Amino acid sequence: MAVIAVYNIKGGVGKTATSVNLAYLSADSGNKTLLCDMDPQGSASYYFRIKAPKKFNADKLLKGGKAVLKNIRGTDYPNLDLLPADFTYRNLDLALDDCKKSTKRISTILKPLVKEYDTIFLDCPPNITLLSENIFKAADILLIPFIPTTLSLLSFQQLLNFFKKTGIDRKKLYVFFSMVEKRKRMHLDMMARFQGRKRVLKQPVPFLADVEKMGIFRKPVLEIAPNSPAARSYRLLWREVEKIVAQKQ
Amino acid sequence: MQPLHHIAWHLPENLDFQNLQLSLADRFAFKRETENKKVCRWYDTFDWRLFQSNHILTREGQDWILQDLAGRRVDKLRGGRKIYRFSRDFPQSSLRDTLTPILSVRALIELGSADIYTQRLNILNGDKKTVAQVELKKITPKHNDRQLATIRLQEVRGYANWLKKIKKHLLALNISEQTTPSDILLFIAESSGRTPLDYSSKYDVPLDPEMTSRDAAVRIYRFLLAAIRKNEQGVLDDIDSEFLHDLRVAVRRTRSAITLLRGVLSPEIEGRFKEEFKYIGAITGSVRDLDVYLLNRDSYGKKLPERLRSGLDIFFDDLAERRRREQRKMVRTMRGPRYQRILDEWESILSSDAETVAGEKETIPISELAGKIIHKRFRKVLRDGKKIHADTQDEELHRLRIECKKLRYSLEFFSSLYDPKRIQQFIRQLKMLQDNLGDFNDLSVQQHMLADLLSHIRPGTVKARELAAAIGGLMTGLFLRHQDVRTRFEKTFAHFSREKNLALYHALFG
Repeated sequence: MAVIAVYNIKGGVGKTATSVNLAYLSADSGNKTLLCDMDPQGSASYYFRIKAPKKFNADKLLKGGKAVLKNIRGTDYPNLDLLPADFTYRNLDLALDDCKKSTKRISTILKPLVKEYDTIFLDCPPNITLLSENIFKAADILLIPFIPTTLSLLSFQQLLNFFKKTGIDRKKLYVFFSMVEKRKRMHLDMMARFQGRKRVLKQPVPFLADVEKMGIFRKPVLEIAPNSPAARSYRLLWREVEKIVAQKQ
Repeated sequence: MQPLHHIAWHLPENLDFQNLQLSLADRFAFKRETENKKVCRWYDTFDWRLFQSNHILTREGQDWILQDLAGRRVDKLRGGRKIYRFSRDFPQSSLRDTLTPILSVRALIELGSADIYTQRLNILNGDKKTVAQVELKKITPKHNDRQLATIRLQEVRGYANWLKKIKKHLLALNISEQTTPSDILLFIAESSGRTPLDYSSKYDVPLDPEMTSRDAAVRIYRFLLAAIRKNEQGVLDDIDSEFLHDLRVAVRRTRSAITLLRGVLSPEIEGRFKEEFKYIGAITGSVRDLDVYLLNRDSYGKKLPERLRSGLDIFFDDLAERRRREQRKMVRTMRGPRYQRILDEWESILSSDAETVAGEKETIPISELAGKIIHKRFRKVLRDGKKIHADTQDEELHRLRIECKKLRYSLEFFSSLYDPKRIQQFIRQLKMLQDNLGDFNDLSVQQHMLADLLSHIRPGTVKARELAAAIGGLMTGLFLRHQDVRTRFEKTFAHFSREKNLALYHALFG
């Protein structure tokens, strides 16, 4: 059993594409998998053609238990379920603030789900907020898609500082390179600086049109183009993540 | 979390897949997945152990699938190209772990196979998201013209309302007869001439107290003859050791019944068939003896230190080779004229109502005769058992074991004439005594065999030395257990013959 959060302070780094495709691969290798869409934009839900039920909202999520279980939806793929996001999630932070033990709320909500699923993915919204702190505590692995630029480095530094300050275990953090463009000098230089470090995954995910197509077809890349380079890199990335999951257990 | 719902129905004969899809298309948008055709095979042991434990095992290509009778998936294994017969043949897996205690020493046999044509329809909502699955199946058994068509509706989590809508639509099409995988199993088994639970090694012949002894005897003999016949093919094909075991038990019961019911048939017939069934016992004996040793192979291995196990392998490989030879010999004899003639003639005697077949006791009501027989056997067991003390020869215990067996058989033959709860209670008490005597006998037979083997070793080679050491190790262990079982006999017998049990006996049989 593992809770894997895909997170970055910055937006547009490939978080949702990563969550969707890795969750798909996890399910495909036989794990009962749940993808929780935590982002009020609901992109992951959109990719799976799932709308949040009318009665579902941020309050229901925070209530946990049956209120959450009732709103889980089966995707079109075996072993893979999804908890859709609702637009009211944009106020999750305020709502969390009103809860008791406000930094551990998400862990509590996940507890009954942990019994049902082998792997849970959390597709997180960008920002560093009370919700993020909740997610950091709940996750066993924090997977950070990282575009190899100086700006990304800066935001990563901020994240490390935050972990230090709040006392969350930094060993949960794993970084991989996302939206890599081989023709950009800076990307290659940045990657060279990080390559081989602890908790930096080997497999990069290139910037590819096939990934963009997910929005048109509303399917994981692995379904649209299973033999494409994009699908291949997700497969190799999942293999690395799988190993980390195995080590943690 | 709630498990997902699924329902399956028989498809009425007048509704083919085409029309059904047209009708669904009126109300629902769906996407047809590519149709799929494969061969599926069903497996169980001869005595339906999987079915009895609520399981159905099928194989599609290399995929082994274990379901429960309601159709819930229990386990799945991607196997190799080999066909597995015993649970130990399966690769290490959770499926093997589930099968091992259920199958025990029995082999899987194919119950039948069928071509399965599957067409899956994904029902879509306005977002083209799959909200339910419909699976159409056409099942055509090999060597059979009959066909079975089913439709299965599968819920997708979170879209239960769609399930309701589709269900309503199907009901309106007159689809109402629900089906489960056990219906399909029944259908497949029937196509190859079998019915679930059509064989059990249990003795079960209900008698009526008013029956004449001859009618009762014929009913008992017929049941036992059928058991012999049912197991014959499995013995000849050498499928697993239980076929021969069950065949021999039926033969032994027949011999015992002839002795117990002496005088019900004519003396010539009784005398002759006692000999004839003894002959069948004799020609099948050596293979069974070797089976018993070979079934112990693993447990022997565990009793020896690692270093001595290679010696044991030589020994068991040799036994396995001897068994192969004995099996061939036995098959030749069973295919020979005498064996077949015995059973054919016995059968014609059982179906004859000629006076020449009858014995002097034929008209006595069975309830009367049964009481007398049980009394006689019980008194003998008590008398012989009481004579046994610490210094009694082993032979006396073996004799007592045979007497107990006769009593046990007579209780089983006539149990339907008595209060079921009490007779089961009494049989349980007897069984405890029989277990003790059985262990004792088993251990002395094993010791004899090892001693025999030891005397045949030609000393000199390293292998011979290792083998001798292995045998020595086993003999010591067997000897100690033998002693232990022997000392426990007195206690076990005292328990059997205690006042409370005698009272139970008298309450039952007067």
